[in-house]
Amino acid sequence: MIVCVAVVGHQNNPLYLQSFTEADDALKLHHVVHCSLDVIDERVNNPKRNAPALNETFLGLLYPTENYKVYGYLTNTKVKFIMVTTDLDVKDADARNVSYLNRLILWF
Amino acid sequence: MANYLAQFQTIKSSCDRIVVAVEDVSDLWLNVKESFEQRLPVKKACLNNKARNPVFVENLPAEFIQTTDSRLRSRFPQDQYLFWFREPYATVVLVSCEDLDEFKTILKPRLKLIVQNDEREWFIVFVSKAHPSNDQASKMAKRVYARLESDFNTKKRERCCKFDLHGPDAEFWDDFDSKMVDCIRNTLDRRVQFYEEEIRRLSEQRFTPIWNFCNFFILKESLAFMFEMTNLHEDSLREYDELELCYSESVNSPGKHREFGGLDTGDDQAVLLNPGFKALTQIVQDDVFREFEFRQYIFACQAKLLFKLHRPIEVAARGYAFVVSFSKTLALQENGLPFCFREVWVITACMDLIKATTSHYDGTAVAIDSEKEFCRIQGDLYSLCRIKFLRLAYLIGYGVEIEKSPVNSASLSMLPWPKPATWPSIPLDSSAETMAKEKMILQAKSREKIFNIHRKPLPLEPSLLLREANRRRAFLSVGNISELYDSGDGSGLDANSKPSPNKSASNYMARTMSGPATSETSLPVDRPMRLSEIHVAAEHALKQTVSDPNFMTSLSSLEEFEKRYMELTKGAADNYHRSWWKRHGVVLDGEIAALFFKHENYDLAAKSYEKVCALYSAEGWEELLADVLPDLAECQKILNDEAGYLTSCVKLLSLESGLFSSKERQAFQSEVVRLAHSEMKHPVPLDVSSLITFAGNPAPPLELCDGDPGTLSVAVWSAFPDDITLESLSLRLSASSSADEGLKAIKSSDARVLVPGRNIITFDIPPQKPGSYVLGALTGQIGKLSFRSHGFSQDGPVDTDEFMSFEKPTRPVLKVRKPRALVDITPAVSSALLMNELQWIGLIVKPIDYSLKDGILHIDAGAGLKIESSQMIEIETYGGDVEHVGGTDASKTSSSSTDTRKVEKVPIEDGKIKIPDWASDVTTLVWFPVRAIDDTIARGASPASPQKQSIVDGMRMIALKLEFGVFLNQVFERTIAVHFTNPFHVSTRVVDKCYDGTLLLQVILHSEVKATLRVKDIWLDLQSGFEHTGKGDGRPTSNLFPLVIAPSSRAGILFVIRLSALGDMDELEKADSMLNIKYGISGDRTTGAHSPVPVKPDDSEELVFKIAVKLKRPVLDPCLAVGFLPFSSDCLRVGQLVNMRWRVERLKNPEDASLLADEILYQVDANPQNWMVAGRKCGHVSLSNEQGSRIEITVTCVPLVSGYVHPPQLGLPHVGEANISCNPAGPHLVCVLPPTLSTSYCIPA
Repeated sequence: MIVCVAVVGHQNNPLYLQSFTEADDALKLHHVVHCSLDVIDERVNNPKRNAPALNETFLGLLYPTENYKVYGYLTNTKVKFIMVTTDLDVKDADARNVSYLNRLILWF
Repeated sequence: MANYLAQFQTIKSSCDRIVVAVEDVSDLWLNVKESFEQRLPVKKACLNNKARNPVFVENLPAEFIQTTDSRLRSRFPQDQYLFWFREPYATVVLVSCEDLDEFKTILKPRLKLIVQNDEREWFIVFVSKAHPSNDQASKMAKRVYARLESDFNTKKRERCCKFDLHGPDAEFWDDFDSKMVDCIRNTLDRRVQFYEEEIRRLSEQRFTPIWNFCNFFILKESLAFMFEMTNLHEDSLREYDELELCYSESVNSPGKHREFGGLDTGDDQAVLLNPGFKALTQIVQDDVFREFEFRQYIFACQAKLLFKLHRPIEVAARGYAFVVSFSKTLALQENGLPFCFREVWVITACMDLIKATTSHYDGTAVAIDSEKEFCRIQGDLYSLCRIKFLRLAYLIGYGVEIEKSPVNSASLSMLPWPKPATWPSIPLDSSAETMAKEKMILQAKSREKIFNIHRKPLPLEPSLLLREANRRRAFLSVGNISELYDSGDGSGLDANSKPSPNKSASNYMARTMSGPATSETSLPVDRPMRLSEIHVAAEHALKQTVSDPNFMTSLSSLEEFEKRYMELTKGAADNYHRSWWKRHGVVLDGEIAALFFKHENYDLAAKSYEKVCALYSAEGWEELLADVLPDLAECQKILNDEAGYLTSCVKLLSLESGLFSSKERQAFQSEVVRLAHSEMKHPVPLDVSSLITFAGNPAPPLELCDGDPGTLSVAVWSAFPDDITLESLSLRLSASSSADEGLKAIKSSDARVLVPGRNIITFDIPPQKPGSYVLGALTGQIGKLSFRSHGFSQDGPVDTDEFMSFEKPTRPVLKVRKPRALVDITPAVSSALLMNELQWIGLIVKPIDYSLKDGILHIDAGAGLKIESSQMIEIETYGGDVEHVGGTDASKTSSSSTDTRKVEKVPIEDGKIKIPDWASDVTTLVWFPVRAIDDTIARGASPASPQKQSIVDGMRMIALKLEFGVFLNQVFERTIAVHFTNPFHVSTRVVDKCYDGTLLLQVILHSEVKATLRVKDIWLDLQSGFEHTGKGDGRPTSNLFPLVIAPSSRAGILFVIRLSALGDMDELEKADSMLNIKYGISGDRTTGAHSPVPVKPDDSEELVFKIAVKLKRPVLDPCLAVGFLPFSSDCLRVGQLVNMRWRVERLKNPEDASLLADEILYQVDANPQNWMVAGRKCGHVSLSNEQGSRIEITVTCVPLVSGYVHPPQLGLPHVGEANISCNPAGPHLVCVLPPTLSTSYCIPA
């Protein structure tokens, strides 16, 4: 289940964040999205270590934990699309094709 | 083959280096043992890895064992193959022989026997016992060795080397090492090939029923172990990796149920770094190893090799991945494992990895990127450990003490509860513990946040623990659970422990089942557990799970829990700070701060909170900032850090308004105002850039001329929730060309109260330097506090996304133009005006794109000019296309305005004229009457007295000063010259002299003005000595008038006069005739001279011009004649005396008595530069009074210069010029030659 979708600006400022949890706990997802920027920064600033990921805008799995996964998408204008899912069996290809994310990106 | 597992284990554990066998043929081992063993370990060996590529191995451990040794002799042949890795890798044959025959007959056959075994790699060391001094023995040894070489060396390979017992040379050891390494390499290659083939053979059987993982494992690990022994760690690691892969495939393959493991005592403690923790025989079941132990074993082997390869970073990285994946495996097996086994295992695994990798990590020798990577993984390990630890702490009742922060909520609320087969039940006789837990729950108070901020706490549990625990108790029906909680309320334990104010206490009790302790000590079978009981049950179960008594210490009390919590959080934060993941680090700093805060260590708490707030603020994560900023504010308030507290309050106010309720925001504002009006110890200027923003008008910038003040209106947005009263408000402008704010603050005269939202504030701008200006900063004062704002807002309402932009606006709000002409004043007329008459002077006042509103024109007439202040000044529009219709009489123009032309009369006071409003923007003509005063009487010109008229005489200067601009700040000054003149220039001449003594005097009137002059009358008042002929009064015939003289034209009038009797000679000389001209003028003031302005209404338009004309009496009868007599010589020469001779003759008897004297004074006037007069220059000569008497005066002179010079003149000072007739009449020249050449100094030839 996708619990959160966020759009983060090129200065790492949040532009849009939508959580899909029933409880009033969006703040924790803010935290997850914010911390996942560390990984994006790392990948962007250290291209050698992540050469395959740099060829495309889809950053893949950013942040695997036991409980949730964070996927990222980086546009040419350094706008980031971040998706948090609690579905641990999701594959990279699935995340890449998430229609919601694609629609968001198109919209941008 | 599985039977060999135990044996394999034993052999493996007893074998740690390769063996080199020593075949001691000649009983020499004891002699050479010491020196041989000194060569070990082999310093450098070139071996082949699995891919048959040469690899240099350093310090290859090896051991020399004699073939007679029991360790080598006792092995069975089948064992030798199975555990081939432990067999000797080389055989050194030690021989010695001093006799060639002995060698041939005894030694050689024996050696042949030894080396015939192809399986062995061997080489011969010939030991020479011959002493170097013994030549015979040495020679013999050499011969024997030569024979040995020829017998055992082949073309392909040399197998012999010679060892000198009495001093081996260095070459021998190199030879020895190389031969030994060759043998080892060859053996290794052969064995690797053997194992590979075996493994391949087994792999082919992989999917057949006879497949046995144990056999595969023994072969695979044998190969890995052999590589490890030969220091080929990379290859060994690869073998283990392959083994792990193969195991994963076989263990995941569907088949019969296998035991997972993990049920032995001590299994809860991870053994990721100790491969020998359990014997492999213990974990084998049906030829397959138990997953729990075996996977840890494989990882431990890999980690060991990685440490040997000095790759602790890889250990950490692989370790973290392993822990995460193994944790998932444990989750799948949770049903069969003890309660919270997974959490405990993860915690110990993480801690072991952290400890081991840190101790092996040498940070000095790694690249910065690698170091960061290592720290990041360490941080991950700490973080993972922390989460699991929090989960355990939560389960046993410390949840109320855990900060409900986003980071904890994100970690815990999405982490599923443990899923044991059945939830542990409450043990018997645990009422005291239940009571204690109950108390802990009840006493836990939710921290009241500053400013009465109420927020629903973030959840720390994925679902209600109460529900989860009771649901997992097999004997309970779900139906009973509904009594325990409100099913509609999705909140977890936290919500329960921190009741919202509107919930009743009874409700709260019922929901948590944490009512007052009852006397019940045992649980009825069908009653659901209360929360405190769940905690007690979990704690008991955990104690059963954990085998390490020290582990539970950290969960034994709140203090211990917090200590451990702090340790883990700090570990994670510090490592994240050293890695790329700063945000992770800073967020965890916030957790540390919360703990510090709880323990009232506010100083440290504030420092950490500041870091967190700075991060969130810099990146604009306002929701997260809003969560933590009140905590920072509270710390600062407690620490009495007024400046910090104030800043925090301002920041809170500047956060998005939806993040706080209006009441909360009002509380922030009241704190700001309270502090601003209080006596702060260290008042600091407050930056309210985010709170008060400002922008210029969207309209084009205000444009001012140099020196002009102006009014600038600025939109100021206030993000305060209420009106805010300001003591002052100032604006700084900065020049867009320079960086400095080199301008004084401009104070606003109005606006003391800023309402929420948009305020339009006007600022009076004093004159500025030319240039364009952008908004700089807004400063002001709230109470005693000065504030400053650099927040530039876009031109939009507050609630747009672009509300705040800290970028300096580039659009100028004010442009001050460079100094330029704003107005021009030029005289309207360039031609001359009438002297001594009241004339209009026109000034063209032309504003150049600038309003002259309220301008004042100062007119300062210079000397000889007077402004007629009784007259009104006329101002009219000026335009080239407007045809001037003004006639000669300016008064005719009315003040009535037409569409194209407007005329207004304004008074002049003290030389000042106020420019009327309508004239402020149009070019106007300003007419004012002046009178040029010239007291001198004009004189006419005559041949006798040619008069040179200078134009300067009629010039009059008028200094103009126009003050204009909003505050009359602009000044235009100019001095203009106006030319005045008389109407006529008069010249006279005697045109004819009649025989009767009548003179025809012609008076020529020359019009001097650009106007038509109408002469109405002329009369001439003659001086004495002259008189009009006849009885006329000196007027020409009346029908001549009016005589019209066009501009620049002339008219002549004849007067008939005659000489009259002479009066006094002096009087005659002085007196002038006076020509009176009565005339009128018709001219346009726009062209030049015009009819004078009537001062009084009845002023006549007739003007009288008087001009003096000097008439000279003609010289008709001189009484004396002076003649210059010719020189006696033809020529004059310089230096030669010459006599100047004049003849003076009395022509008639003088009438003048003074001339009657018989003596005449003469005087010679000579230029002293040209002439030297020898003798008297003056003197008296006697001349008879009789007519015709004459006398000659001679004066001797010497010419001084050559050329044409004036000769000396003879003057008669006492006789008037009129009475002397000169010959020659005028001045004349004489030629003076240069002096003759002198030969005095010439030397005769």
